[in-house]
Amino acid sequence: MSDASLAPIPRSTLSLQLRRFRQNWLAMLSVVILLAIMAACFLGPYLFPFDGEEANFDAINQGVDFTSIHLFGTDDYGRDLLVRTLEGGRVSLNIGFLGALVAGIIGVLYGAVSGFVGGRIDRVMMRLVEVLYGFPYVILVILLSLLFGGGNVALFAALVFTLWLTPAVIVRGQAQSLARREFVEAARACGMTSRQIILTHIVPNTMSTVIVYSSLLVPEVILSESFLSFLGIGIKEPQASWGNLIQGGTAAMSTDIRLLLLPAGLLATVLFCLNFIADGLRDAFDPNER
Amino acid sequence: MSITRFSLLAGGWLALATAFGAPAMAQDDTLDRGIGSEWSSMDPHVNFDAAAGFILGDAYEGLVNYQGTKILPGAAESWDVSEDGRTYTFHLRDGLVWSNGDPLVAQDFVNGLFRTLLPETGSERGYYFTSVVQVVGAADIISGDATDASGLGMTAPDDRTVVIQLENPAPHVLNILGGAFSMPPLHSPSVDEYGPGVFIDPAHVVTNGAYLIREVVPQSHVLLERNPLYWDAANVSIPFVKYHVTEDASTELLRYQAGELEVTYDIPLAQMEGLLASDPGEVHITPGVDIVYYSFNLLREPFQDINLRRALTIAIDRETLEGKIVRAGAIPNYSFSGGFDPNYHLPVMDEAAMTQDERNALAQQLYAEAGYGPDNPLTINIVPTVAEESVRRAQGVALMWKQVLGVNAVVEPQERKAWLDAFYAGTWDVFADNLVGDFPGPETFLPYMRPSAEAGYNWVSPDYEAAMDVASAQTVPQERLDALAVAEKILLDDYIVAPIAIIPSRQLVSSRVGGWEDSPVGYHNSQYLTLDQ
Amino acid sequence: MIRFLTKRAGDGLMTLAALVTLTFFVMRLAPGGPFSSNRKISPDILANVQASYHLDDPLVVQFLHYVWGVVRFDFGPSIRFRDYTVSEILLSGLPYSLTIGFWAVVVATVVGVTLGILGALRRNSLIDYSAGVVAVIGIAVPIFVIAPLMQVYFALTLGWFPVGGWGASWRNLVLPIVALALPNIAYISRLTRAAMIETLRENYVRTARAKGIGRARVIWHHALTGAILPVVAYLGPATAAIITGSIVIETIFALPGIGRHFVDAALNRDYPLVMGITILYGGFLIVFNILADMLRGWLDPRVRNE
Repeated sequence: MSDASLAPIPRSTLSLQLRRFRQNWLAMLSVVILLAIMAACFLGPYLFPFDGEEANFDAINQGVDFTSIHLFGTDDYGRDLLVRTLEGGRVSLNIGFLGALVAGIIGVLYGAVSGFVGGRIDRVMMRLVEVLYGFPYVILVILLSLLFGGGNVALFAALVFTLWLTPAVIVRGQAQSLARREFVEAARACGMTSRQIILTHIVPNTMSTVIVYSSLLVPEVILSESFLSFLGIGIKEPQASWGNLIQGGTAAMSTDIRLLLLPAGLLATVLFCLNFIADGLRDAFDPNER
Repeated sequence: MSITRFSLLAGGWLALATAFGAPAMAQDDTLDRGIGSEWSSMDPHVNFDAAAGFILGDAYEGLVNYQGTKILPGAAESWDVSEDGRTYTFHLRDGLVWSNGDPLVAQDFVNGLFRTLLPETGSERGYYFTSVVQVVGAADIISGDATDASGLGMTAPDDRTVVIQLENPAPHVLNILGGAFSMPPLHSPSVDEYGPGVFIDPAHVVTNGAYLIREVVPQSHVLLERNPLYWDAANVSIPFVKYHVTEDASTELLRYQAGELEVTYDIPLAQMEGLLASDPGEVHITPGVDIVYYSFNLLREPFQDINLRRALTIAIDRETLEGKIVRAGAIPNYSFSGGFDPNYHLPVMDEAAMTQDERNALAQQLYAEAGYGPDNPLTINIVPTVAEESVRRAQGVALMWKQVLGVNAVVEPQERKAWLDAFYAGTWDVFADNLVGDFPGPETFLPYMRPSAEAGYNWVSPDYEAAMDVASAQTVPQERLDALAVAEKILLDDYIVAPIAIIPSRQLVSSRVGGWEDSPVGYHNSQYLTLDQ
Repeated sequence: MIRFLTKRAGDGLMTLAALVTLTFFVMRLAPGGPFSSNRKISPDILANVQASYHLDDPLVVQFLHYVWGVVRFDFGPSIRFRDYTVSEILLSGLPYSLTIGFWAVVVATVVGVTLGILGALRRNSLIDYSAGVVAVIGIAVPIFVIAPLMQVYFALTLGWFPVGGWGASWRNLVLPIVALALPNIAYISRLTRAAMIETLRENYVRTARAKGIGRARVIWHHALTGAILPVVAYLGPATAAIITGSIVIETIFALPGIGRHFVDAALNRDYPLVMGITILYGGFLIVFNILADMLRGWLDPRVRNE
């Protein structure tokens, strides 16, 4: 039993799940749109004869004009808005997905162990979470930038540091309930180790919550990044990110809404897609739905 | 003190309890002004920031007063200066009283300075009396060597005479005796009885200015009411003034547009052009005594070469930078101190008369002479604060250095305190520096650059030091200014900093407000303003 | 229950002690100090100012001094706001943050749970998608975008509410509460929906339905209890964060709450205020986590709080 339980899900189940996912037209549509946005962000900028950091002071704040080379116009440095948004997407999608993934994994494992093992270990682990929650975030960020020099390492550390805490608390709650369920008791009776039970029973059963929560973490990571640049770490202008584009667009919102709409619209679209994909995945992998 | 604490707490919970009451009534006899972030202290001998300065300038009056760029008699109706320029004798008005009716005497002014300097007070304002001007004996009180006012060069021979003795002649002393950074008198009885908490306690605080303090709500506002006992009360037009904390410029603008404010503290950069187009009469952009310059790290090898410093200095197209990139209304600056005093013959850098193309050509030549080129580009960092304006400016400069010279300049913005720390730690190649002056004139900036001031520039220049010594010995104002101009030219010719711009104050002033005079230092005392209904 | 509470209270105090010690020493590693300023101030003046805050003592002495103060509920004077002690600042701002935060939690929970249940019951229906749209907007459009938009539309165009400030009217509260609740509505509704779908398929719910218990009753009594368990866990830390205010909301709506101090105190290196706000937030966090654990234990007997 011990090794078999860690083996991948049998092929037939996986293909069944994939088929079920494919039948969900909304989720499939979302996948297509998301891939299209990613492709545009990663490849799109190469189609233009300039990059997003190239300023042109003779072409400042041009409006939307699909007949010109600047399709969505330029920003206040005369830089092409579309190219900047796409380049920003490359950066933001990277940190967004990676950040959410890492925060999600740490949170799930930490929470699952804490909730399942319970007792004194649970108490200590959860108190540690409280200390980390409570530590002043701004000080932490300043120290990280001192330590890592305000680059991408500091950015990533600052993003992940707090974001894994809430999933950990939620998963720990789920794990507490699951730990007393019949199938877990049965697994224990069969002689499975705690590690095996956590990985095969606890974690998969918290997945539906985790998938949904993580899909919300992606935009949160992308937007927190702009707050961090306010503290001097993270993506620095002239390099674009959706976070700093949206922030800049907000400042100019009442005079030129275009600067806000393009990056914010793309971010919202990505989130919509993630939302439907998360629901689709959840349904497809739901062991109860046959 | 306990009363203060209680009323403060009660105020908060009371506001909560009445939150569901009637909607707020618009008070038309109240001038509502934005002050940006919250005041640091309402203690007039301790406050060290502009926000507090606005409020306290209305509530307390120094020996002189300011309107726009003019120095007016304040509590003193006249003053004499001695031959050697070191002794100032002020004659107080007859019949001056505090807001509680107590007579206001010359000794109160002496006590005010003494309290400012006492170590227990823990006030940073001693800076004005030891660094900006040198009042005899002031440094000894700060250091604790003197424990009473007997050696202090500020005395009250009688109730209506204040005498100030200076170590060196300093005509600019009149610029620090009034207004927002006034040297206010001390009402000893109230401070003795209630302690320093009295300054935020409307029930017990005693003032001598045009306004009384009626309400102090932290993070929200300070409400002032016209002081009927003020000597010039008859000419104070606006009955109430409310200073609002307005930390977010966008919200401040919305509140202004909704009629909740008549005077703002700032204008959001992104909105400037739109407002200039729609309400040009309400937009007030005035050059302020706030200069931005980029300092070169003289301890690092590349910057020991004057050719490189000069190349970098002149390769910046200041007109494009401020006009097209930063667009915050700042004025391109080719001098260091920016002028401000109409009698000052402002020296400018040699290249000021050239076109930018000529400057760029010269910069390329100097850059090459310094040993750099396409194969061997200079790679440096620029360290600004994270403020939007300062980051934009740094990026603009980096772009120009890249375009003109091929320099690889990385902009590394730092959070403000870390930025300050970085300056003294020297962890930068080019520091996006700025200096805020205390009064409109070159002398608020130039002494700070003296190598002997040890302000952290590591500049060695006996010439500048000597020229400044010559200037500070002068007692005749015009000769002093001319001597300062000689010194400033030495500073400019050494290119140890690249002057960039003069930062303006940006304010919206409603058309209902009358009597508004633009002031480089931001003196807009409410007593000189009117409010139409 | 009493045993549980004593144990958790003891744990809480130890957590707080650890947090205080960690924060006190670690925050001093940040570059710059409360009195660093643009102009170099003479050493004598700086020494006087620092001495007035005991910043000239050795760090360990300062720490003992601070702890001795905390034991007597004296959190020291603020450095940035020199007229006030830390306790005064926190107590005067707390009512505003608590009021806005309390209603934001209520609104977020009621609206979020309702949207989540409706979405789960009528999956892939119009109402499910609309709830999804609300959630996406609440998350993807940050507060600093939504809040100014609300100000422009509801305050300037329609004139229903004031732009900002704390007046003597409930109208001042509406916009900040909605803005603060929005992102939480998103999280809560998505969590509820996911958990609800799961619970509806659980054996006990199926059994209840099979026994002929009415649909509404099943949803109310059985499914809902299961569905809000993750929400309760989420609300523990979230409530502590919401009721201690938000710097974005407070600056945009010009509210005198304490949320801004989380950022400003650290930026100003106002050490006593950083400590005070950390203790306050840490305290709320511990209390709400205890409450959340108790509530979950009561809702779901499987979560035994030993």
